[in-house]
Parts: sequence; C-alpha cells; structure tokens
Amino acid sequence: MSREHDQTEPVLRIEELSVTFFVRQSLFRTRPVHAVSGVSLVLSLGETVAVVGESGSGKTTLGRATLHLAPISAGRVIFEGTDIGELEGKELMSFRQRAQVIFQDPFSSLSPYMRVGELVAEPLAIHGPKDREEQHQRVLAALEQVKLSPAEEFVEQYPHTLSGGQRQRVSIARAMVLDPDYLVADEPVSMIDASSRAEILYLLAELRAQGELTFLYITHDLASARHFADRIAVMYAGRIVELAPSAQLVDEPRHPYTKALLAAVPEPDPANRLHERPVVGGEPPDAADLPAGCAFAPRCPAAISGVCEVQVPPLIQLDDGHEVACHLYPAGDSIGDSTGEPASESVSSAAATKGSSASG
Amino acid sequence: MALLEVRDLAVEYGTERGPLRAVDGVSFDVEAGEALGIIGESGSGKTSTATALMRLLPRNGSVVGGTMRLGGTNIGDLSDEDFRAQVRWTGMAMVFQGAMHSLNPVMRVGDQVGERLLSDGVPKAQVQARVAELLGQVGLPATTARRYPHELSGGMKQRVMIASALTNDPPLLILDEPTSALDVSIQAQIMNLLKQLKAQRRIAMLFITHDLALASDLCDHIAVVYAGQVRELGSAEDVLGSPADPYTRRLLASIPSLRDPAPPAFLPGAPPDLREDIAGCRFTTRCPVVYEPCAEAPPLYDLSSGHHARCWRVGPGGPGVPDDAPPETAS
Repeated sequence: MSREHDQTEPVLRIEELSVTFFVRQSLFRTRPVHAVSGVSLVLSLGETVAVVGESGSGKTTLGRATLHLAPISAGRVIFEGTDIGELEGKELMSFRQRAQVIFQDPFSSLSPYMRVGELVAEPLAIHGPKDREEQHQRVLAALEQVKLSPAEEFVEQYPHTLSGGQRQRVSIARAMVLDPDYLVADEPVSMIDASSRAEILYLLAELRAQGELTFLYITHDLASARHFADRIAVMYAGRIVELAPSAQLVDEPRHPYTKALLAAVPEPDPANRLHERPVVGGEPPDAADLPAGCAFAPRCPAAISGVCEVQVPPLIQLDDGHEVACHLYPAGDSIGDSTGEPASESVSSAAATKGSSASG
Repeated sequence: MALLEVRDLAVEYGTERGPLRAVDGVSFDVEAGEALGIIGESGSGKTSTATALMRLLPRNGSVVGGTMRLGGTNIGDLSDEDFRAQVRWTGMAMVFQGAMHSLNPVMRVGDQVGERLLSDGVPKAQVQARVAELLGQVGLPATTARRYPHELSGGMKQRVMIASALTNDPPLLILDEPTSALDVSIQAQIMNLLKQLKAQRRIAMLFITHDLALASDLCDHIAVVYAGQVRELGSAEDVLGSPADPYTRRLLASIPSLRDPAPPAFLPGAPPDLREDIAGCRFTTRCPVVYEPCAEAPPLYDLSSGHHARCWRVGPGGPGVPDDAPPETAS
C-alpha cells in the first residue's frame, strides 16, 4: 500500500514540539501532564508517516497539535513554511480547510440527527462554495469518492442505518470534501470489524494516490502501519523512541520497546496457543508522573542501571538512517557500527526471559 | 461427552421490522479444559450465542430452538431459579466485552468481587480470604481489594473482572472480546493469564472475538460464524492451516501481516440482513467463487474428522475452492 514519494519537499515540519496540559489536583494546585515532549518530525509531500503508540503515549495529542487543536507549550509546527501557531483570521481558516482529520469512533463522531448529506455538507457551509447546487454536487462527488454509491441514496440516510465501515466512509467523505492537502487519521479503523479494516485502508490509500495528500496515520496497530505508511514513528510516554522506514522498523527493530510491541502482536498461527507470548511487565507511566531518565527504563529488559534511569536518551540517527532514542545505541558508537547492533547483549533474548510478571 | 454441547441453537429477536434470527442452527462442543474460539463479524450471532448460554438475552430476544447441555444437564430445561443456582457463575461464568467499564466506581474492588459470596451467606472473613486468593490467581496483589476502580488501569480492571468470574470455580469461562479495549502489550498480558488459567487449572473457555489472529493465541478449536450460521469448524490447525470455506479464507487474507510484505486482501460488502428470507448460501453476496449450486443453501460438510465447512465447493464431488481466487488488492 505504500509507495514512492517526493523526499525533498517538506509539507509539515514539527520542531521540538511539546504539549503540556495542566490538571487541577486540588483547589490551589495544578500539576503538569507532559503529553508530548520535544518531538521533531518532518513529513514530505505525499508521504504517510504512522505514529504508533499505546494509550497515553501522546500520539493523538501530537496529531491534534499539528492541526492547531492542542496548545503548543514549546517548539513549533511549520506547515508549508508557516508557523501554524502564528496563524490568525483568514489564514487560520484557510489552514483549517487544507488540514483535515478523521476520528477513531464513527459511532460518536457523527451526529445521529443529521442525514449523511448534511454531515458531508457541513464543512462546505464554512469553507466551501455558497451555491447550494454546487455544494450538493461536491457532496455527491465526495460520497462517490469513498464508494458510498449510489450517492443519491446515501445522502438521505441517517448514520444509525449504516454499518461501522460505512459510517467511517462518511467521516472520510467529510474530510475529503474540502480537498485537503494534509490529513490526520486518528485510529481510523480500530473500531471497525477486522474484515472491513483492510477495505477502509485501501480506500485511504486510493485517495492518497489521487492527489498529493500528506498523511499522519495515528494507530496502535503496527501491522496496518507497516502496510499503509512509508515511515513509522514509535511513541512512548510523549517521545518518539524510534523512527524508520516501515518495513525496516518492523523487520529490524532497535528500541527494546518497539521489540516488545512487535512481540505482543499475534499473527494467525495455531502454534501461538502452545506457549506464552514474551511480554514486558507493567504498564506505561502516568504522563503526570514520568520517571526520570528514559521513561521505558522501569519496564525495560535491557536497561543499563546508572544510565537509563538518569538521563533521557536523545533520538539519534544510526548509519542506516534508522533513528532511535536508547542508551544501548550511544551516539558516538554508531558511526563505526553499520549494523546498529546494541552495545549490550541481545535485547530480544533478554526480553524473552524477563517479562510475563503480571502487574497490569 | 463434551463439557458443553450446543445443538441447533436458534435465537430470535423481535424487532420493529419483524423477527430477526441472529443465531440459526449453531452446533458445537467445548471439551473440558479446552478453548473454542467463536469468530465472526458484528451481527454474526457470536455474542447472542454466549448470552443465550448464560440466559442473559435482552427482553426482545429468546431461544427458539436447539439444546444446550452443560456437563450432561440440559440447561435449557432448568427453571430460572435452578439456572441461577446451578449454572450461572457456578457451571459457567462470563467476562463481558468492555467489562472493565462495568465496575461500580464507588465500591472498593474487593467488595465487588466478594459481593456474590456475601449474598450467598459466606462469613465475611472467609470472603476476604477468598477475594485475596482470587486476585492472586489473576496476578494482582491482595491490596488491590482495598482500591477503587478509578485507581486501576484498564488491564487491572479486566483482571478484576476475570477474578470475579472465577469466584465459584466454574469449569467453563465465556469470554466476549475480553481484550478489545486494551492496548496491545496489555492484551498480550491478559492472553497469557488466560493461557495460564487454561493450562494450570484446566478451565474450558469459549472465546468470542472478531480477530482470528487473537483467537489463535488461545483456542484449540475454532468455529467461524457468519450470518447466524457456522461456516467452518475444526481444530486451530485445520481452520488456520488449511481453511476450506471461502469466507474463512477471505477473513484470514484480510489480516495485515506484520512479517509478510504482501498487502492484505479485503472482503468487500456487508453481511446480509437477517430479517429477510435468504435463499441459498448466505455468503454469495460477497463470495469471490460463486457458482450455480450456491443458489441453494449448502449443508455443513464433515470434511475429515472434526473439520467442517459450509460450502458446496468442498462437499463430495464439489470442484473445490480455487487457490487463485483473486484477492482484491489496491485498485
């Protein structure tokens, strides 16, 4: 599903982005929740980057921040050369038209009181042509584009008469009706039956192929990311811990967290039931109470004591272009080490022996 | 004799547009200590089968045919009172989909797990000891009993629900999408816990999911259901290794593989409306290999010992399912 794209032209440039929320702890005290910390990521024209992580990893907040929908506390998001934090008035309106989002839950993100036609026409009322007939034609075209055909029939229906897959198509039509340049898809298939997921991903891939659409695909599902995205960024506790071309990340993971995630995904194999899956114990940390140093260190089977719980590892580039934030790959050492093997003994075997202690 | 024997089960719901037969002649066995996976899309009847077994169908639903035997007893014949005393939670217990949201937010976890024992008249000290033991069995520290649900993560709450289901040592657990709201790494932890319970305590399981890959993590046998009927039934090796039915094959092909660069195929369309009379095979509207006999409903063929499939092509004298049934890939 992934394909070639132009590497040279960055559409979106995320620079050292941090998003911190403040939650009230008591009447006079608030505490900071570091949802996203120092994330940098560049999306080229027509490229799809998957942001993979578990709940609380900051992936959704990162996506929202790139849409001017979350408060940026540090860093910048540059869209086609302009800092979106500085957009106001007409420019902000124009950005909102060009950057669209598809949400996870097609059951709650569509108003049950609106017909499909009205739902898809809603963005046009703000950004589109004022002419009714032209709006109607745009709606029909968008529905045909997402294969809700015949569009004239779907226009009259209410969301509750549609299947999960069809509802998600309506959400996609709502995003596509304004012909955006940048699309954030936040878990677009996780609430849909397994049998229909591939169909929705193909539809997104098709839309992407028709225009020069730059895509941020937010998911917890590494397998779909591998097939749908050009590159995968793995997030943990608000930071990118690994970033590489999709197949490379899945086939040669470097970060112990990525390895653990990959080991947790079952593939349909009758032999799976005969042994326990190697898992890391524990759960991701609370973003309001992050451990010092590497946030994964308390669960990491390969943690180097005295180092990992002290210092946050920076995201460094290895020789093969693979980026990783882990003390097992010291910045200096990777230069002469083309394989990018970890500095200590095999991480995966360590992950297999430590593990299934069940604290979650 | 199997621990659970379901024969020709039929469940109907009364709807504004007439009766909907959600389960239409489903038969399967669950052997003691083994896990059977029931795999299907939304609306396939998998959850209705489970709630019918537990006698927890909503008001407009009823069992209209078939028998259900648990340990030899026909549980369909029991009075509601006997069913509560002998079957529900004792003979079999159920962990519901999204169950972790069903914990009472203002009650301590231990009080909720022990509630049923207390109402059965077990002395408080014994209940507390039992709750600690149950929490231990699902990998939670005994101190969890004093905590409130909001203090626990999703994975811990699901463990509490499993502990609760284990209260009366049922020989059979029904698990309805027990991990669907959990993160992958927590899902793997819960699946490992279920494997331990199955291996160490010989608890039989009926595992209901739409995810074939997840089912392979636990299930010895797999039943693939579609539009209220079993399409394919067999050992995990049979169903996953040499799937016979075109629906099973498509379902398998639609799973994006992590290691295999080949893109997933997809299953276009949607299941039929069960309120309408369906002549012929129920999968024809989506099947890539329809031929003339499909106009009539195929029987569930016994292909080899225990491997069944509902497709004319794999029956005696049938042409077989071509391997090269073109998977739909990106257009």
